[in-house]
Amino acid sequence: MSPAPDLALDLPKRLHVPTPRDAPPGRRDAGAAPQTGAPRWLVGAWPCATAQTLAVWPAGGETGASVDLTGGPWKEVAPPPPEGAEATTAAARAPDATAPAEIPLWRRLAYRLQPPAGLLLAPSGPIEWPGTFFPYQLEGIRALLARETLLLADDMGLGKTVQAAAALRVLALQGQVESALLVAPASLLGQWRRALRRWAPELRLSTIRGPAAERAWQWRAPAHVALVGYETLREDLGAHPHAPPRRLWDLVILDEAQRIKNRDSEISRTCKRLRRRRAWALTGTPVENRLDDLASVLEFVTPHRDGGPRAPAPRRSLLEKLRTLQLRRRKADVLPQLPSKVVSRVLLPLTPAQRESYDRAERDGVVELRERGERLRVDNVLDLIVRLKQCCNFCPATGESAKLDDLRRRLHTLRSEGHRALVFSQFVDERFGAGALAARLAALRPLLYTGELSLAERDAVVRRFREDASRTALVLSLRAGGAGLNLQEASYVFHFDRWWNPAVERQAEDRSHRLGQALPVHVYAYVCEDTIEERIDAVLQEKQHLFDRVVDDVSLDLRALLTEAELFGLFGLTP
Amino acid sequence: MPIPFQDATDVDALGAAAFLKVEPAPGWGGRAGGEPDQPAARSGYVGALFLVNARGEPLEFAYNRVSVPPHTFLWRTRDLRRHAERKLVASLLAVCGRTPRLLLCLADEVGSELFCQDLRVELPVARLGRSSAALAYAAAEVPEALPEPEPEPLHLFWFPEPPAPDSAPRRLLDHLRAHGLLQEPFERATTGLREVFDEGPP
Repeated sequence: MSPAPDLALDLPKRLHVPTPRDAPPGRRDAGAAPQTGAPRWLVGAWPCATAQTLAVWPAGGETGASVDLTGGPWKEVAPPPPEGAEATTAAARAPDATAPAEIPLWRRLAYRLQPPAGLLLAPSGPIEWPGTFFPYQLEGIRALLARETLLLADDMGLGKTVQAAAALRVLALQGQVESALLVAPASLLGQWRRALRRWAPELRLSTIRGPAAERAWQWRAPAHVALVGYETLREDLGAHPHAPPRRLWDLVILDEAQRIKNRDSEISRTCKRLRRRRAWALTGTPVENRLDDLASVLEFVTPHRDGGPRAPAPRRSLLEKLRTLQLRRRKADVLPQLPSKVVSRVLLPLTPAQRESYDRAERDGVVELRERGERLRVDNVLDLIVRLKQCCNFCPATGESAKLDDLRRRLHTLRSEGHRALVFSQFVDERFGAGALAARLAALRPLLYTGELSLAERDAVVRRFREDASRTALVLSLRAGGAGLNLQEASYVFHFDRWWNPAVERQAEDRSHRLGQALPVHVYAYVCEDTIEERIDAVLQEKQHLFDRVVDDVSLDLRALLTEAELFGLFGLTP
Repeated sequence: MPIPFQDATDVDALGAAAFLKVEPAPGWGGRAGGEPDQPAARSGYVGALFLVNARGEPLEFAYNRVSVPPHTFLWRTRDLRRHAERKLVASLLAVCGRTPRLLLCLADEVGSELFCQDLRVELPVARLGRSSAALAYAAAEVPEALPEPEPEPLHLFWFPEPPAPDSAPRRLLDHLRAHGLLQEPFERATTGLREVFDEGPP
């Protein structure tokens, strides 16, 4: 062999990739740049600026930009100022010095070298998952991972929480998400904590609640995920210009995103002002009342460049946008194995005493309305409707209730058969609502869940119902207990009175009819004969059919969707 | 054990595995593995040493490139490649910041002679290959076939010898295998090399 040729060997470079476990969350650091020559340890937080997290959305009103990373050069837009070491080698610097915004090589590598999502989600992959995902859930997780923005609008009960928690875990382990903000109704924060502890145990959580001083401290706690209620967020964001929620979040998740359906509400504006790289909106009912609801939710998951948040989109463009931003699966499509849900309308005559009270209330009410003449307002009509609905629940004079008698009979039967039930009422009080039901059904030892309980008390009630099979019934106010809870222990649902909005009713039913339910779910909706309930029910059904043709899972709001003529017509009046 | 448990640090204690990747420099022609005598218009090799922990999380990524000058007609391509490979891998090992428990490479990329003759590494080294490929191995290497859960048996050629049962390297190997991490990191190392060198030769 001839003498060895003189090979041109470059200087080797080494990139140290800190793992998420190496550094506390909440620190935004430049990571560790490649080193040349003698090895040298660098201490750094895990790199978080990555291919898919570079679209920086500005606070409202500021000019911002987002980068399409599916093609073209890698460019960083308004990156957070790095606190750590800068790239020091030629390889680490941008290859093209004329492209100052190019992402340093070492950052790209730190992203590229992470375990792929497919491997992390595999049952035999390096992550241990506490359960097995359904195929549609895997699709959902992949969609959340692949997209910066998504409206996940699966049917209630299909596991949106699990999908979001799993995707969040993968992103955190890949170093793509260092700080996430989860905004949910306050009553669901406990449930989210449990879900995240189970499905993303590595993540550190900080729940923001309590007095303002305590919250200020909680916002600063080093956590991967800050969990906060909508109202608390609104208070804290407005607290001062440098309030912690104003920082740049790698991910913002809105659970029950229909909470921002009103684009003019403060909470809606607050959520859209959050600076975020990724935005996920979770809701089973993206449209509750009208198409504008959808427009408002879509604004959260649409970068500002796609249209100003104030400009109402025409219906056609809205639906087109929905097709690109929404992932929605129906139970019937993806979970044929889920037990069926059978909805029955229970038509009851009022008791004689109730009838007398009802007729008198209606007669007096109509007279009162007529006397108002030109001062008659829609609110006056709505007040009368509420009074009549209360009469349908319980006689204001004697306390008799045809519905309660029927409900009591059914619950006794269910108890003897070992079944359990949820009973919803739109009223909370102890005369006509959930309080009255709990008191009058005392022999069955029902549990009561209303918004009047503290969050801890509500958690305790749910826990007791789950753990104590002797509790046959859980009475819930529709507003406090109709969304977010997992109550598969019950397979019977009663709507003691009817809410204006069928989507809210369905959401309540799906506390029971969801993943984990082994029995067919029976829903009974009470309607009293020849009363306002029957008349409204008919009008709502007609409106529901109309909306079903426009957008799936739409629901109705009486005030918004019944014309004045229809409302007044309920009492034979003309506007 | 009356109450089965696993300490999270147990997985960390399994240590790191190094995945060595060597391939022709992009756009330069030639193959690091087969067809050794086929001349390339311009040859060179890129290599990466990719360290991951038992969870598959990346720990280190060292990379380098060696170019083979033109007019090396006195050398057979096979010898030239071996020489280049040796220099390249030595440079990667030299810069490695931590000591892995295992060093794994692909049998169709790295020949037996690299670790059996040219470089002596003080830890178990295995070349991996599929049974469907015709694989040559040196007498000094110890073959081992891994059946499940791979779709087809995976062959490992160990040098100097396979890690003993219950040894730390063996536990790490078993853990990686059980979690789909015995071959997948090679793909990430390839991706990393593409990211580094895809702008083409200087």
